[in-house]
Formats: sequence, C-alpha cells, structure tokens
Amino acid sequence: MKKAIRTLCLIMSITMLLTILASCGQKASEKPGTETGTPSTSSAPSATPTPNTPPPPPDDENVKYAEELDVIIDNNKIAVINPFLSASNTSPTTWVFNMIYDKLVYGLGEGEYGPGLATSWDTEDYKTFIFKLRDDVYFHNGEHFTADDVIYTIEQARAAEGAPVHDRWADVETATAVDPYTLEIVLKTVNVDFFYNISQPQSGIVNEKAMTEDPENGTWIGTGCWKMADFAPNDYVKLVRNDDYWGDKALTQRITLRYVPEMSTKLMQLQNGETDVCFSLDPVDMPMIEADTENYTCYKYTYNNIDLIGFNMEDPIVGDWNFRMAVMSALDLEEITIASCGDYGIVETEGTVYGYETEFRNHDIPKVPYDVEKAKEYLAASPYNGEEIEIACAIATYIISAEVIQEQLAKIGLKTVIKQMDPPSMGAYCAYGDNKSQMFVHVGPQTLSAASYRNLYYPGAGYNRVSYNNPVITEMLDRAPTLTDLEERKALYMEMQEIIAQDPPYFSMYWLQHMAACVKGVGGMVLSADSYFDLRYIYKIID
Amino acid sequence: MLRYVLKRILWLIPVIICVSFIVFALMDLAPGTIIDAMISEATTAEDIAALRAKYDLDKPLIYRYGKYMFRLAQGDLGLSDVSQTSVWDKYITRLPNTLLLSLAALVIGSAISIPMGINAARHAGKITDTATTTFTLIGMSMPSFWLALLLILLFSYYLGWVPAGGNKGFSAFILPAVCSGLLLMANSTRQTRSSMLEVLNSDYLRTARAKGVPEKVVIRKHALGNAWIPILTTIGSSLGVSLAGSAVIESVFAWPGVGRATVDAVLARDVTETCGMIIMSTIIYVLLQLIVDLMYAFVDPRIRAQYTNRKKKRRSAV
Amino acid sequence: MSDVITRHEIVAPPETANDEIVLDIKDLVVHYVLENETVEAVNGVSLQLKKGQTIGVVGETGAGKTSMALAVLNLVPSPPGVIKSGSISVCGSDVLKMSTKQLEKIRGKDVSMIFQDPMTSLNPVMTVGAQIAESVKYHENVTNDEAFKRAEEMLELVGIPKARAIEYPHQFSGGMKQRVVIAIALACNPKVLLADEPTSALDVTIQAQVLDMMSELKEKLGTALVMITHDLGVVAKVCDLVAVMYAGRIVEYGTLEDVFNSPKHPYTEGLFGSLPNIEDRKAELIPIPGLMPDPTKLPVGCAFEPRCRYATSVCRDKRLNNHIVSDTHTVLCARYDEPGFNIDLLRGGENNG
Repeated sequence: MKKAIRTLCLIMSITMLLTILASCGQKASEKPGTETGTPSTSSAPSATPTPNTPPPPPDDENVKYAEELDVIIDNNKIAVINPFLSASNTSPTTWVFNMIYDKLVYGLGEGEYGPGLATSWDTEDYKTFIFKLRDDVYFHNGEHFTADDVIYTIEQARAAEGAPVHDRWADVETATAVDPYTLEIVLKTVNVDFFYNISQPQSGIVNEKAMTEDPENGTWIGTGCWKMADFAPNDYVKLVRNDDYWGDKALTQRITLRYVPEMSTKLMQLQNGETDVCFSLDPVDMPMIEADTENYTCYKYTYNNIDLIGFNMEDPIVGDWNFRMAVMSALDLEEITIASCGDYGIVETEGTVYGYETEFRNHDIPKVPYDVEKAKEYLAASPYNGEEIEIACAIATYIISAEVIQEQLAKIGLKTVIKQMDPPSMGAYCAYGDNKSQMFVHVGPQTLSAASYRNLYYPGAGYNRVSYNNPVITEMLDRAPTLTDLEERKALYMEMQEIIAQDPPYFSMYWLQHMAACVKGVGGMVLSADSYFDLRYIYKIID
Repeated sequence: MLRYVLKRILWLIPVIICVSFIVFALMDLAPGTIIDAMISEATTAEDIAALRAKYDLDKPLIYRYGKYMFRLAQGDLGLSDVSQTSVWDKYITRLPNTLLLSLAALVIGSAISIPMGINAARHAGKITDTATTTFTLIGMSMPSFWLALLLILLFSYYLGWVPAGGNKGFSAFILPAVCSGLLLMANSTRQTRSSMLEVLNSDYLRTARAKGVPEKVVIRKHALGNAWIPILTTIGSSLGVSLAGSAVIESVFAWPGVGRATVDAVLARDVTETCGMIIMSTIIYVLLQLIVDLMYAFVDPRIRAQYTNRKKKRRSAV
Repeated sequence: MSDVITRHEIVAPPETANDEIVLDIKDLVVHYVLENETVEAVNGVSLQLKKGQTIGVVGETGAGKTSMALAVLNLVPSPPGVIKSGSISVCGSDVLKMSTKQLEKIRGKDVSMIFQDPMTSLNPVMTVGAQIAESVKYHENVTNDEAFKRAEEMLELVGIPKARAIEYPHQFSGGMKQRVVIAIALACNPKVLLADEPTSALDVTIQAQVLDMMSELKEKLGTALVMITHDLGVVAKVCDLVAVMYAGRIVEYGTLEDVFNSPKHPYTEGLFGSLPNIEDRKAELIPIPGLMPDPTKLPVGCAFEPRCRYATSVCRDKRLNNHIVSDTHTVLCARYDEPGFNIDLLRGGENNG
C-alpha cells in the first residue's frame, strides 16, 4: 500500500515533468518557420488573392469514398440552424444551409443563374417573375414541395426582421401560386440583385408543416441533399445523406461539422487523424501542415473581406482629410502585413476598398503611396496637435497590426494609443450616430454582389463604422439596384469607387489567406470568397 | 434538520434575485449588445432599429429585468435571445456532459488525492512529502488550459492513446476527465495533507496508538475521520465550480458542457441565456453546498448535535 | 464493586508472580532533535517496577516525565523524538527492539497509558463505547458486539452508566472524560499502567474520586502503576515508590517513606519547601530560586547546580554518580561524595501527611 502510493507520487511527478519536457521539444521541432522571426522576402505574397478550390470528384466508377467525414469548421460558431434568426449569419451556418436547403436558383458566376427548385423562369420587366417549379421534390419529413412552401418561406423571411434572410426577400411585393408548380413573384421595384439574393444560402426553402409542428427546430427540414441528424449549439452539427434527393446524391454518407475553440487542439486533432478537414488553422501552424504533402492536401482561400483601417469621419481630427492622408502615407503596408499574417498575407496594392471577387471592382484607383516626408507635410496641415489618437481593435491579428501602425505613425510624430475590446463591443463603439471611436483596425465585409458596397457607406448601415455620410454616394447607392443594364450599373459602381477614393474613410491593408487543411484524398468543396462554402459534394477517396 | 434544509432552499430565492440582477446589470454595462454580435454585411439601419425594439433595448434595464423576473417567477427561464430556443432545454442537454465530467473528476481526483495527501502528511518533511507538495504546487499553479494542452500533447499526439477532444464516445471523455481530475486533485491533496497534519499531531491519535490499534486503522479511522471536514469543503467547492462548467477545459477539449455554453452566451450578449445558465449553476452550487453541510453532520457528531440541540431548544421553547 | 469485577473475569495476579519485574527501564536516553538544536529530554533514566507496585514520578513540567512514559510505549513522537539508547523491557521483552506489529500487540494489552488531557485525548468523532471497545477488539479474540459489551462494562466499572456508551466525547464533562480515558487504558487488564498526570486537568473533588477509583482498580486488577505527577499529595496517597526527576534524570529514588521522611537531594528538599504546611499555616513558602535549565544546553555535571544552595565548584563539571543511601534509597548528588554531607532539611519530614 505504502509503496504503491509512493510509486504513484513518483509516477505523477514524472508524468508532469515529461509533459513539460515534451512541450519544450515540440516547439523546437514543430515550428521551424518561426525561428527566424520574420519570413524571408522571397516568399512575398502574390499580388491578387484567388480562391484555391479543391477539385471536383473524379469521373471514375471504381473510386471508393469514405462513408463518414469529420470537419472542423472555421473560427465561427453555429449557434442556431434557423435562417430566420439574425444569429444565423456566421459562415459555417451558411455551409449547413447550403447542405440542407435547396434554393430556387443557383448562382453560376458572372451574373448567370442556373436552375434549382425552379426549372425555368421568365420575366419581361424585371419586376414580375414566373417560376416553374420541380414537381418531384420532397422535404426531409416526406412532404411534397409546392409553390406554397416558397410563399410560406417568403412570409417567414419578411417577418424575420434583422435576419439576413429578411433582406433576401425584402423586395418581394406579392408571391402567388398560379398552380402548385408555378409561382408568380412581383417585386416592389426593379431590382437586378433579386436573383443574387434568392440564390444565397439563407434563401433556402423551408416546409410549412414542419415549421408549424415544431416551431423551434422546424427549420431543420429542407429539401437539400443532406439531412440534419443532431445539433449541439455552438458545438457540432451532424448530417446524414438524403438518399431520396432529387438531384445528384452526396458522395459521403455522414458528416460532422465541429467547432473546436482551441487552435492547438484543432492542430492535434488533424495530426491525430481525428478529423478529415480543418478550416482556419493558426497561421503559425500552417506552414508545417502545408509542407507535409505526403499526408495533407491544403487548399488556400481568401475571404472577400479586406482588412482595413477605418477613420471616424465625425471626429474633428481624424475626420480631417489631411490627417487621414498623413496616416495613409506614413504606413508601410508590407511590414504591417508580414507582422500580422506571416507568410499568409497579401498586401492590397490598389486604392479601392472593395472585395476582390465582388463584381464591378475598379482596378484603376491608385493606392496612396508610402512616403514619410509627404506624410509629415500632410500632418502639419492637419488640425492634429500632439494629441493621442486612439486605435480600436478587437481580434488578435488586428492588435498586432495596430501595434505596427502605432510604431510607424510615431515616426511622423503622430502619437497613438491602442484600445482593445471584444467584437460585440467594437460594434457598439463604432455605431453609426453615436460613434465613439477615432481610428480602428477591422474588417470591411463584402459579398460577391456589388450591392453589399452599400453597407460600408450608407448612413446607418450596420458596417458603416466610419459614420460616412456623403449625399452624392447615398443617392448613387439608392439608384444602383434599379439599373437593369449591366454596363450602366458597372459604370456607376466604378464611379462611386473613384469618388470615395478622393475622400477615403477607409484605408485597405491586406488580405489574410486561410487554409483548409485536409487529409489526403479530400476534395469536392467549393470555397467561395464570400465564405458561403458549399460542402455538399465533399468526399474523401480511400484506397 | 428538515427545517434547516427547507430554510436553506428558501434562501435560494434572494440569491437568485441578486445573481440575476447582477448578471443583467453587468451585461448592460458591458459594451455592445446582442445586435452588435448579430450584425452582418446585410444589416440595414431599419433592421437595427427593429432588433432594438424586439429585444427591448430601447427600454430601460429595469424594464427588461422586471420582464425577465416576471417570467422567471413562473418557473420559465425563457427563450434564448439568439436562437429563440428554450434556455432550460439547452441547459438540460448540456448538463449531463458537465455532470459526467465533474463526477469523473471527483472520483479520479479524490481517489488519488486523499491517499496521496495522507501519505504526504504521514511522511511530512521526507522525500515523498516534498515530491507530493511539489507536484500539487505545479498542479495548482499550472493554468488549466496549459495542463490540458500538455496532456493532449503527451497522450494524444505522442502516444496516440486517446483522442484530443470532441464527443465521440468514452475515449474522448478520458482526457478531459483526467485533466479536471488532476486540477481538483492538486487542490484537495494539499487540503488533505494539511488537515491530516493537524490531526496527526493530536492527542487522540496518540491515545489510539497507545491502545494498540493498528497504524492503518489509526490513519483511516481516527485521523481521516477527523480530517474530513476541510477535505469535504475543498472537494465540495471544487465540484461546485466544475459543475458550473469549466469553460477553459471544455474549450480545449471541445467538450459540449455548460461552461462553454455560458461563455458563448456572454460573447453573443444573450442576456436571457446567460442569466438562465448562471441561475441554474447557482442553484446547483447552493444545493451542493447544502449537501456538503449535511455531510459535515454525517462525519462529525458535534455538528450533528447542533442540529438536534436546536430542535430540542425549539421544542422546549414551545 | 467487587462483584462487578468478577463478572468481567478479570484475572487476579498469580500469587507466585508477586515479585515479577514487569517494567525495567535501563539508561533510557530520549532526545528531540530539532533543526538547529537538540532537546535532551531524558538522560539516562533507570527504573524497575514489580507487579502490583506503584511508583510516583515527580518533577516539574519539562523534567522528562512524559517522554519517559511515551518511550515505554515506544510512542515518542518521531520526528523529532529519538530514543538514543537504553532498553525498556515490559514483561521481559524489550519494546525498543520490537517490530510495529509486536508493539501494536503489547500496547493496550501489556502496557497502557492514561493521558494527561482528557479533553483532547478522546477521538471526537467516535462514540466512547467504540473507543473502549477498540482496545478490546484488537487484543482479544472477540466479536465487535462482545467488545462493545466489554466496553459498557468498563464504563460501569469507572462509574459511568453503560447507556452512555453510544454517546460522543463532547457530551461528557471533563471528569467523565478522564474516567473514559482510564476505562480505555484498563480495558485489557494491562500489566503496567502509565498514568500521566491523570488528575491535573480535573478539579479537586473529582481528583479525589478518580484517584480513589484508580487505586481501587489497581488493587483489584494487580496492575503495576507508574503515576506521573507534580503533585506530591497524589504521590503520598497512592504510591509505594517515588522517583524525583529533574532535567531528564532521576535525582532521587526510594520508597515513599525514604523520600518523604528523609529526602536527600536538594531539589527534593526544595519541592517540599514549596508546599504549604497544613500544621503551620503561617510558615512562609520557600520557592526554589531560578528556572529549569535550558534542556538544549545541559551541563556535564549537575543540572540543578545553578539553583542549588549547596552547590560547590565541583558540582557543575563532575559527572554524577548515584549515591546509595540505603537498599531502597539512592540520590544523584555530587556533594554526597564528601563524607558527612547532608542537607539541612528546612522543614523536612513534616509534610508527608
């Protein structure tokens, strides 16, 4: 007994020591890339980001696919599977929407749309649309899909104020079922973005019966090629293949999407083979996994959201044009990018603040050049008088950026102080109408549709954190959706970008590259720049 | 005794009122609201106004608190602001995971810590004692996430014995259980050691030895019997804390427990859910303390006597 | 009382064994080794005790009485206590050479001890019955029920109703607790009983009761008793032999008459001098000047020398030898090497009442 306890003590102590030692050894061997501190210039980031989408499944009948896949989702949680709630706007939630719902139409890119639940559609004036619907579609609960379900979905969406889906269907004036498989939709105004809107993940069609029977989880029922099996909020979603799907069936039978909060756990689960796909690894760990081509295939992708500096236009100092120009001229973006993203940052070299995949991007706007002397001149001309200017930031990467910015601004004699907060606080801090910020480092989110430009500049919009209010731009933003002519619309957006560049309330900095680290043999995902990934036909080839 | 228990349970009411008010006030003081956490690139100014009205954010704190308390008084924890699902359901689906983890931690922790603490106390000043104290010191000063990562590294990465996390059956449960067990152990080993040290020098142990009672029995029956109270207190409060869920351990091991759900609710500025989760954890904690108090009476006749004396006094007063 | 005892089947001491030596302490040295000093608690004590005899060990607090008694049980708290040398045989076997198992066998059975403070000597979370029964349980081949029955009988023996066996120590008064402690010590009819100031925590009326009870029990059970006390009255009342201890040594040893009627050691003299005289109430008490020597720095010679009015230059440095006064009486004082030396006996011989 005595001996046993003594041995136990010893074992415990040794284990503790070993684990500590193990961790020391780990650091040295595992992260060779970090030893030098800053990456070499030879690996300088490429000029424009492009999504690196995995290959579609091979056209070979002999290929065997794994039955079950485990996916660690990116750093956002899935709080709820309900498109009618505003909490459903996180990226991985849209992945689930893509899997369990079908949309009326699917985007094919470049303004083209292909059939989904609607087989064909017709319009004469871009206001009234007639959709012909499929008659062979069943919901996961066995209900037959009809035009009434679309109408029900539209009604629900219009009641769901604040949810992304609300805006997707907001333009609909009336929706009527001509017959069970013919739907007439009349819009309030001409809106060229309507097809884009209804092809989005949140615009999936839900079933009326399921929703009334189970108001809480009725939204789990869709027509998609995956069915919900289990869900723990903020933790995991389990899906099974819909074997009665009307279209191409999924290649995998079961899939679990998991949220793992701890970066190191993510990495170890990938290395242990506990997961097949791991999104958003810690950038520090990415080179190691990427180098191990024998075991892993890595797909890099970049979100459409530019990381930027925002200037509160209402602030007496920061709102001054000369001051903003001083800051922009004083910043060496290369240095900021490397410090913030390591090897995985791409410096923004163009002057516009615009998603790289968003339609109608203006490539001809020059970036404010890096020129310290010029910056000093601008600063002298500004009302700045030695005050400490605040830089607000919320997440780790931006805190690093802010620190580098602080250092660079000090070189032109501009004093700054960094204020850290959590993301929701940031929203309240920079709220339109009651903007307490001066400068901030944050993200400028944009979808693939040019319409999302509105949210960065329109007075009162959720992401207008700079309190930008330019009547010219406001009018142009109002006009944009009514222009049915593609060229006309393009010209308008190009012009807006030029006007805003004269008056820059934002300064774009870099794009952060992410990586889906996959076990060898995984493919079939569509990693689109708007973060609404399509994992329906994900697969893993096994020997 | 029964009256005492009832009284303690009734005390829960003011505790809940205070706790929920504190949660409400803190959530209100914290910058940002649920809307800021929900906002997306498609959110318009009208949406924001509609949401403010929906969550009563345009009304004063006391109105929201009153509304919440009115519902709570009817035994309704309400619907989560974020997911519009029942907070009670959410808590109840998470509780078994946390319960399982806490109980495993308790079993692992006390099975190791009590013998280890006793052994250290008996050999106070010797190498076993030094090893134990050093070990517990490391255990106590090591942040839990760090310990968790080290355990994953060793047992999952290098040795490959158990998965690093997730919720895939028993094997995924081992590491988080061991980790929380170790944390609980560090604390209770120290407590066992010190309270045993106190008892080991006492006269009645000398009496017991002088009677010729075998050393094993002296330690187990006479010494431990008297050292229970501080040990129980430590284990009880550790268990209480872990029943409220350890957000850190649950995060590292991706374990779907109460703690993480609470933290997620705070981050989403979901007042109803945060408050519901914290109220439930408070109730569990208070009940656990009550059980610990009742166990004092079980292990110590002097405390038991207080209950019966009270009863007698009351009877004589009547 | 007597019928009670027969009911317990208490074995009467065999006639032939009356002069059997049950306790034999030889040159016992007990030190407490602390980090930077060593407390010399017992420095070469020798004692012999025959069956049924009672010896009173007298001395101030810190004289090493309790350490000596604990050494007999081999219970000197270790660390820091160390039994440096000597031998202690109880009923013929040396307790210092015994294994833990053997020790556990004789403790409580052959030799048991009544501890000084009844308030803390009982386990607060066990019933008194269980505590007495434990003693029986580990030494005699009985069931738990039988052991508990014996415990109840022992309680009756010490004058506590047996119904109280299921009560806890906190429900008893100090005197009652001491009785329980005595009951525990006597539960297995030990051959040697060490009583460490059994009455000093009690008030005077209870003291008398307890002492009466102890001598009664001792006689009935034939136990040899070591009565450790600083109360000379107690010694006079119950003891056959007296050992006076000072700074870890027995400075005077003899029968009750020897020591009380003709004390030889200056310290013994001092002890009697500091007692009130019932016949001469006006007589001034004469305290012994000075304090006990620092037990970490004892001199080679006489430790009492600094306080002794007979001290000469030789006392401090000369190694002491026992001076034999008579067959039964020895004294540890260097001055007796000088022929014709004797102490003045300030008030000697008058207070042995």
